[in-house]
Amino acid sequence: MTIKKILTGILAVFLFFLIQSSVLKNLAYSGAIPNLLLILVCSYGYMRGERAAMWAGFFTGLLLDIFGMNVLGLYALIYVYLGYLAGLCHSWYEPMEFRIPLAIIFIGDLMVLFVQFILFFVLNGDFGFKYYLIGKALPELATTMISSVAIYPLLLWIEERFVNVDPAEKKKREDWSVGDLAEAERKEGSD
Amino acid sequence: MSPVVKQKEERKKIPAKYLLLIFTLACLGLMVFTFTRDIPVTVAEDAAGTVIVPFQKGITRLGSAMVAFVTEHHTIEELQAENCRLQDEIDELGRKNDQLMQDGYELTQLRQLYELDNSYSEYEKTGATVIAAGSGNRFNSFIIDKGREDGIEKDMNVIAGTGLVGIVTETGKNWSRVNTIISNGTNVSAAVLHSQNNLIVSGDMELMQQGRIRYSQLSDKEQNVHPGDKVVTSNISDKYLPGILIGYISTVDTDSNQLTYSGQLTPVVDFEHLSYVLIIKQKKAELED
Repeated sequence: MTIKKILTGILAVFLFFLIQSSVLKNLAYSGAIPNLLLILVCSYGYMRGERAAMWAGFFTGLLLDIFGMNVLGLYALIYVYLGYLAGLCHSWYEPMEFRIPLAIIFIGDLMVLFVQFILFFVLNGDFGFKYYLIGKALPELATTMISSVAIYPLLLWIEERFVNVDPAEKKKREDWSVGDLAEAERKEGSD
Repeated sequence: MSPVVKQKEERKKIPAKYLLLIFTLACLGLMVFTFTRDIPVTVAEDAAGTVIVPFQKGITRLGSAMVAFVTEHHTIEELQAENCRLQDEIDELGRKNDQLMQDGYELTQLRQLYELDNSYSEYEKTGATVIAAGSGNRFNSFIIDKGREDGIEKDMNVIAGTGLVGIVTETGKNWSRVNTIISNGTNVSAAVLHSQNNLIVSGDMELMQQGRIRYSQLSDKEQNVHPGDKVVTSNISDKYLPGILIGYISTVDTDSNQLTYSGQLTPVVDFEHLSYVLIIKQKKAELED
């Protein structure tokens, strides 16, 4: 993990939390607000792998805990696991592929909403699943997906434009692709 | 072997699973620690507060400035319509004011009679701005820009305008979290103002979308509670100061046991547009001492 990744990660978590908690709160009454932090953690899982996503998830979860919960560590745990699961898809990472990350965000949001329902409703003795689904879960899922269409490309652009420009890394990649070609040619020749 | 495969193998060597285990243990440890000790981890909270809260304050200020800018650009028709509406409101308020003055006169007399001097209007209050919503949608809880340094303590009552908003559940150095009475699982013991019948007001997010709160366990043998009656916090509450207005009864239904009543009431506070709240610095527990 390079210093660039750490710095952009910290900055992104910080900014996304601020936007989520302060800017979007004014929209909260007109319906659901998108879960930007979830988009961030899922995108990092896909773009950077499990470790980066787990760190991002831990700190976003911790911020959510500090400002919203009586017990610290609950959201942190949920978001760490979210980051880990999203990070498992990192091996499919391809900058021009948009369907996989959106699918990850969709599934991730479903899982988080379900866990939230269990933790904050069922354990409080409230089984209003229909209300939760229609009044809360579906609107949040919809707004999250709509905003992820804009936010994921932005994160990707930052990642590819500013973070993944390590010259040594680039050169290595080029070398590899040349190596692959050579090997493929050799194979063809031997056939 | 192709180097691309080699790169994947190298990545697998990074023990993400161990990191996951460490995080899991850390989170569980934090949970157990904060849950059993019942003290907030103030170091982390203060650090987060120091870094985040100034930005949240800035954003909130910017937001209100933008709202002010947008609202300045009303059209003339809108302003005229509003003027009409406000004029009506003034008339109504004037009428109400007359009535209130009458009531106030009566009140002073009655207070002298009963030697009551503990109306909540006399408690020391401090204002605070709502700077962030708690996690999740809607105002289950929110963050205000005053904390320990401003003398805010846990269990202080929070009001907006004339009505009860909730209670301070956690304080940081420069911020506090307020839990609203409409959030799920919150119960406030209250009383109908004119008859002093006790009831329990319970937060319910589902009803809140229609602008209502649920109440239950209203014992009313004489059946003199009707829609429109004022509901205030009662004396028997251990955290809420007595006599704070919560709302007005809107429906009264008989429970299946035929002894108690339950229903819905309309809160006086507009929970969807909270931006400025007042914190009563007098705590109920200290009042009883």
